[in-house]
Amino acid sequence: MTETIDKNKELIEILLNTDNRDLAEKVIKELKERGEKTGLLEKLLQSDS
Amino acid sequence: MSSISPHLALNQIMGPSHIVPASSRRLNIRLSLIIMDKRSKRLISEIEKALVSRPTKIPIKSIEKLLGKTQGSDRLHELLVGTKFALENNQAQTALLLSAISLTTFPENRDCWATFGYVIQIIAATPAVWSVLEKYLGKTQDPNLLIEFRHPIRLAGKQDLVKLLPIETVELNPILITLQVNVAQRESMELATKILEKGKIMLDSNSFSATTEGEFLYCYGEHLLSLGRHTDVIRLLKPFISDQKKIDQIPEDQQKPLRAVLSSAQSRLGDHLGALATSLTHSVSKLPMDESNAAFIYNIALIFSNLQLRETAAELYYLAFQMDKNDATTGFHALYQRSHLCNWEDRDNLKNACNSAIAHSFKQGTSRLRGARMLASCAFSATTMFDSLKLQSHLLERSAEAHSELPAQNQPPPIPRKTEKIKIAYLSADIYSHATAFLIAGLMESHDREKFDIYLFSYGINQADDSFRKRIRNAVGENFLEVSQWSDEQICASIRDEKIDITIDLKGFTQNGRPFLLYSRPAPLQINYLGYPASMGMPYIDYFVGDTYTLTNNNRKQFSERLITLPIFYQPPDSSRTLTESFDRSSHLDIAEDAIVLGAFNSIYKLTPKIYDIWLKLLSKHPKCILWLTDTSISGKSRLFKLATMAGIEPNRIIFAPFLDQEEHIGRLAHVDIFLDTYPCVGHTTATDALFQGIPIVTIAGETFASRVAASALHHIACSELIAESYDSYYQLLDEFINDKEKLEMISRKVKENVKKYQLFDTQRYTRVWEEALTGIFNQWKEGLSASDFFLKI
Repeated sequence: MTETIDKNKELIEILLNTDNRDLAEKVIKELKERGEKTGLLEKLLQSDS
Repeated sequence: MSSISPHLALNQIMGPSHIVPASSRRLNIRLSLIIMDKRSKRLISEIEKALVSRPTKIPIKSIEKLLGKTQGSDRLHELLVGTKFALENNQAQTALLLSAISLTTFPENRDCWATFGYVIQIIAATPAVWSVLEKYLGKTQDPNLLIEFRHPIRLAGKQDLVKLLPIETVELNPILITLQVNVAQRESMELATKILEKGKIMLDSNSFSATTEGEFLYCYGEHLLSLGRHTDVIRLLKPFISDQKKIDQIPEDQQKPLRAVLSSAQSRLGDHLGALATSLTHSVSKLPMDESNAAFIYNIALIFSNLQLRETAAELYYLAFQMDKNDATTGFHALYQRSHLCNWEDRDNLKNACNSAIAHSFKQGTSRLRGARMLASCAFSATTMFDSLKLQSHLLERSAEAHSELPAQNQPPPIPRKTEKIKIAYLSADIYSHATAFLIAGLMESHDREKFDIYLFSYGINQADDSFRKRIRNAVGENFLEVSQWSDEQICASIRDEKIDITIDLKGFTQNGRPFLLYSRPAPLQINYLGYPASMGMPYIDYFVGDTYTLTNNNRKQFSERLITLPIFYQPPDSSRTLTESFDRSSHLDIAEDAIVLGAFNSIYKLTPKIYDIWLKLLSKHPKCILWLTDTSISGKSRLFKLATMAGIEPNRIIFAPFLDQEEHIGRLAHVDIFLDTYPCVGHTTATDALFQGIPIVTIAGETFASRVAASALHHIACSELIAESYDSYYQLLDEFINDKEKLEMISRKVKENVKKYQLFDTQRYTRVWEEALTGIFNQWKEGLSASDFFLKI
């Protein structure tokens, strides 16, 4: 579980660091839909705005 | 021939953006308002006609007449003006030839280089043009010609020109070395590797521009990638790409392919986030909708698909395809990924575009192996999304092209051994709880060890504790080889060392496969079996395995392999499976006692709007029916519910079945009354799962092998009455079974009885038949006979 969260965090960071906020939003939505925890990822997204 | 304005240089007339600024050495030629006399116009037309009708011959007489007795700068004028005129009048071959002549006659003039560089971007050179350049190179040995025009030279496959230069010149220039490597790759990969190793030492001990270094590293990285040396690719390219100072000096369009090679290797080794970090360097949404950006977006989509983020991947594939509708690979991926999400928007257009695109060669790119990679990437989607023999023919054409791109192999052919036991090596990435492992587990346990030595090369990155992996590992014993970190070369060397007689590729062109692994022919006989349900179109694969129903007189023509036709259903069964005690229906389905359960457990990407429409019509007509369907994403479900609502079906009549492990899944199948097959991609393992539980399947028999698998299983248990030939008869069959309870009970009984009577799940029987086929083809080879179609009779 921890490993998945870390990987998702890394993924969102890559997207935000490369100016791909829209992709990050899509990915978070997709992860959320399949039941993964996205609270931390949404925080990352907020702090990027 | 012309009247010349004193004010405009040729590069200004022809478009400065494409032209390298003329150097100070250039002749001071100024042209404008070119007025050609009738005679010159006629001569240029004559030259063009001659070049089109006989591309190998230089029309010397017409050229001499055009240039007259001019000398020096006058002659140069005539050549450049002729080039310009020919270009403006769509006589591009003439323009290219005249510009080649001007370049080779006046090599000190930068305008000539720039003009030739401009024209060769527009049109591919004819042999006549190459002969002009060849003559010049032979005389001058000018390395700049090859360095400056390396890209068109590569595209035209004319790297051989490098042989006209002294070897000591070549060995000191990284760009020339890459051309030398391209030539060597056609003869020997080993030789090419040595040249690259030596070149890298030279590169490290000298100072070159970052662009030159990047180009050399791209060539080296791609070479290693084609050898399956993924770890070495990372070792080679990562330091360069991570060096911000260096990478920033390389133009964007050269960075992308370099990054793509590294990210391919990272993906291959399971590091998908690393691959994304390597490839994704800027905003995707800010890129213009331009064909040149399609490949980049495709690469990013591929990584998202490896990360199992289908929604995002599907969107990106579709975007890439909108940018380049001639790229069949991207189109098929868009279609396939969208199908996983039941997103059928614009589907017909997408399908038509894919069908058109695959009829043409893959676009050439910077990568020598682009065609091979594109084929490997899209063939599975193409095969499963269409029941089309024509499309299979196009795939064979693409395979032939891809095969011609593959590097040279010079391994000696294996020699027949005096042996009592035949050595068989299976190769797969799917040795875990996966359809292939479900199929082969029993076979691996049942092979006759007195007659066969069985090896398994497992190259997937799989969980070691997976129950099916453990079972297969136990069956194969010490010959189970975990080779996920091995290069193709290492795997082939091991196959040779072990003196394997028959290699069996269980993956073909499916995800995570290594379809070119067996290219060097490490074993005398090589088979495409089970994983990829179509021809690989590769001459190094000798056989494909089917049965008397899946293979027909019509679809046999769509195989480059010789065909092994088994007299029984071609898929190996696993008779050690047991039917678990069936839970009460209510534990799975909250439905009325007398409900008729239509089960559809094929992978959701196989569902099409046409089939779903038929199911909805059945639900509409028969209120007692419920549809029990493979689970999909939330968005997929919502699309299916929406269509159901539009058809007047209550959403609670569609129930999604969560993923269960194999045994539990088979158990729950007991609650299905009729198994609904999909089309054009029919059930393969899922279909036999249903038959194992004794559930009648209603299927459509298509034309291609892949579209006949479920029907074949039914045919081999003498239940052909469940096979429809069209959508209409499919609907009618289902309608009849739902209407007539007695008829449904009768066919259910027949399926249960015939599965036993015709030994569909008898692993021992299957294994003996399969071994007989293997022995048969091996004996043919030992006797010196070439591979030929092999029919077995019971």
